[in-house]
Amino acid sequence: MKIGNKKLIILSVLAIIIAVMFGSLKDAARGSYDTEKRLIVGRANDSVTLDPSCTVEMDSFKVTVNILETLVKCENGGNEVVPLLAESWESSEDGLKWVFKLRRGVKFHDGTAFDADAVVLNFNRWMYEDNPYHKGTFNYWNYIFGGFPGLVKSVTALNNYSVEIKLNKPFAPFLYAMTMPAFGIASPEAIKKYQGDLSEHPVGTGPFVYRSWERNKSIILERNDKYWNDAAKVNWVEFKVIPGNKERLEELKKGTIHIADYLSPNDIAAIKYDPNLYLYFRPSFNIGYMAMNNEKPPFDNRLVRAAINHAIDKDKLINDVFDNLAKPAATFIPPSLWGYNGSLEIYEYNPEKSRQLLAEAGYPDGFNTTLWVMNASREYLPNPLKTAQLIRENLRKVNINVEIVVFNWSEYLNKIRNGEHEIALIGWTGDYADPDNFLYTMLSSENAKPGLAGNYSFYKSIEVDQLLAQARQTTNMSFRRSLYRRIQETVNYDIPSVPMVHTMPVLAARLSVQGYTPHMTGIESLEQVSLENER
Amino acid sequence: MKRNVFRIVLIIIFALLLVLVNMPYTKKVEKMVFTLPGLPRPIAEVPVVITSAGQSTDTYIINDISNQLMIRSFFMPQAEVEHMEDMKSIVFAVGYSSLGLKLQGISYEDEKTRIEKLINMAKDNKLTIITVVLGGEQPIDERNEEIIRLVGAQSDYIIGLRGSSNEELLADLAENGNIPLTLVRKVKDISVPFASAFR
Repeated sequence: MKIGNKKLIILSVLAIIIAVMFGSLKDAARGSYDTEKRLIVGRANDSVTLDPSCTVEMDSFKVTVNILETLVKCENGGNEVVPLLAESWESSEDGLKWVFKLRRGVKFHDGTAFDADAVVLNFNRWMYEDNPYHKGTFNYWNYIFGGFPGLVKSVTALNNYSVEIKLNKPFAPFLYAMTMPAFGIASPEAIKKYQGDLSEHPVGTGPFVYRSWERNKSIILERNDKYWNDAAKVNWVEFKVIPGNKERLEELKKGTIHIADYLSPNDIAAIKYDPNLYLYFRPSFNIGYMAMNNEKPPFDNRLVRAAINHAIDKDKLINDVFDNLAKPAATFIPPSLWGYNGSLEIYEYNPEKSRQLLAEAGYPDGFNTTLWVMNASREYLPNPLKTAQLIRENLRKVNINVEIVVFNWSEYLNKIRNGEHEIALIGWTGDYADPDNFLYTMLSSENAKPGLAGNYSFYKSIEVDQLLAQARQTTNMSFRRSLYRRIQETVNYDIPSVPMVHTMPVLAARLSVQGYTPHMTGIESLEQVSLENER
Repeated sequence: MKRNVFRIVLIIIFALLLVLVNMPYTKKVEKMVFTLPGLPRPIAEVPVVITSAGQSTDTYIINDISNQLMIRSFFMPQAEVEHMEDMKSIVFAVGYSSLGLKLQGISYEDEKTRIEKLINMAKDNKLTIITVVLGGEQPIDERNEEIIRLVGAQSDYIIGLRGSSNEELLADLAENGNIPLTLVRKVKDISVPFASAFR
């Protein structure tokens, strides 16, 4: 009996060990899946390039912000400037000299050291057109600094870990500009090795290392285990292109992707009541507009532009296309931003008035034109084609016959940047909370240069240019606020384009995604995001 | 007999172990409160009265934010019903302060009565009610909770601070009343949702 019990005890202990091992093995098996920890982000568009200095395109920045780091950044989920590759900074009283103290011990992904010379080499590449590595368009440099070298006078290494940047004129949003992903510091060795063409060779200091890019399919990044800061919580990030909104949502529901962006407002209910999904909205920090090319007749005529503004039924557009998840726009900056002019009236929907204005402008029988539209969703235009169709209906009522032409995103950008369009749907999501980022980009003559344009209306106003320049050079907030209000009044009269909507972009994630905070700029690095097992 | 009982017990323990070890992963996923970063469409019109509910100094912060945004507002921490003529909206900056009440020379009961009258007037006249609660991490006291419940449940929009002690209370009020809720990380971030209510 004693022996029987002993056997039984031994058997039981063995059984327990086997059970625990079985559980452990199962955990281990699950662990091997977990250790892969691949965060898959489903998105509507592919990146255009992985060299952030040569684009203004958000789907490129969404990837590169994980690879290349800037000197400073906006805090996660907020708007305060915090250190990144620079540990600290100071500026002279007149705002013309900035000194950045750099972080020590940081390595690029290729193992080379990050130091002041690397920063200087990057700036020289961006700012001097005759630099041997200045290959590409460097749009953002032009948008922000107004030419090459533009506002920046010189960039000098004071020692291995200090860089001095001198400006020609004070530039109030300078520190914010330095947070932009376009100014991510690339490895000098990589710049030299690839002769300035980093579009498929991004090498930075960030939490993730670039691994592969299959165009229009996916981009894969791997965790940087030698990252100077806390290592990322997932091992891999995959940015997977799924152009259709419905398909993207379906994949999210199935669990084959973890985050889905640019979802349609019509899908909110489906997401909200799905127990496995969490619905996110980004703050409304954008403007979706219809750019009329002011250099092409009849859009060079203010009366025609005003007529078109009166022809667009924004309320119907918002109801039918945006499912009421957008605000009608009166001007080109979002209402939550300081400097917004709340006294501006939105051009009322009035087809009769529109026809009168067209007649006054010499077009009593209307005219024919083309409306260009991109083939996939943007944050400010979740359903671009449907938007274009509704605009076509609106314009038909005032005898403007519209032919809709659809382009893929990268081709679209190139064409409108060259000013080839008559009317084009486009928009802007702010990079930081300063009206300059919206108004200088979209309305300054400096940014109406074909090939580099961000001013897709090709609007040129000496008065607006002067006010924009003045607002950049003063740090007095009350004065800046009044200048921006004046600019909006002038632009509201000139009405270079049709400001349409400020959207609240919709995105969703599986509940397993933790630590994800959508940023108002639409761009966030993913090192804080983890994947928990789902129940 | 004893041996059989012992065997049965062991088998049960073994079975339980198997079940426990192989149970689906049960780590609690942190509770996620549904919030908006701001309102998709404005709900309130100006002029607006900014008043206190509890007489804390938080009202001054809301007034500053409103002024910076150039929203046409009237700052009346002790607003009464008779001050509300021609007003279209009312913002309650909620925060109980015994010192604030003392300085104003009013009792807690007087304050509650004033708030109730304002809410009733707002409801009768279809004024938009916006509640802003700035309370921090210190434990929420009974009176503060009472005022938050009093105003919050009647609001058209609630704005609070993420990580504050009243976050859960605000989430419950929002969920039960189907009221849009925005939780911001820092006080200065309130300007975005605040502006979204008006434009």
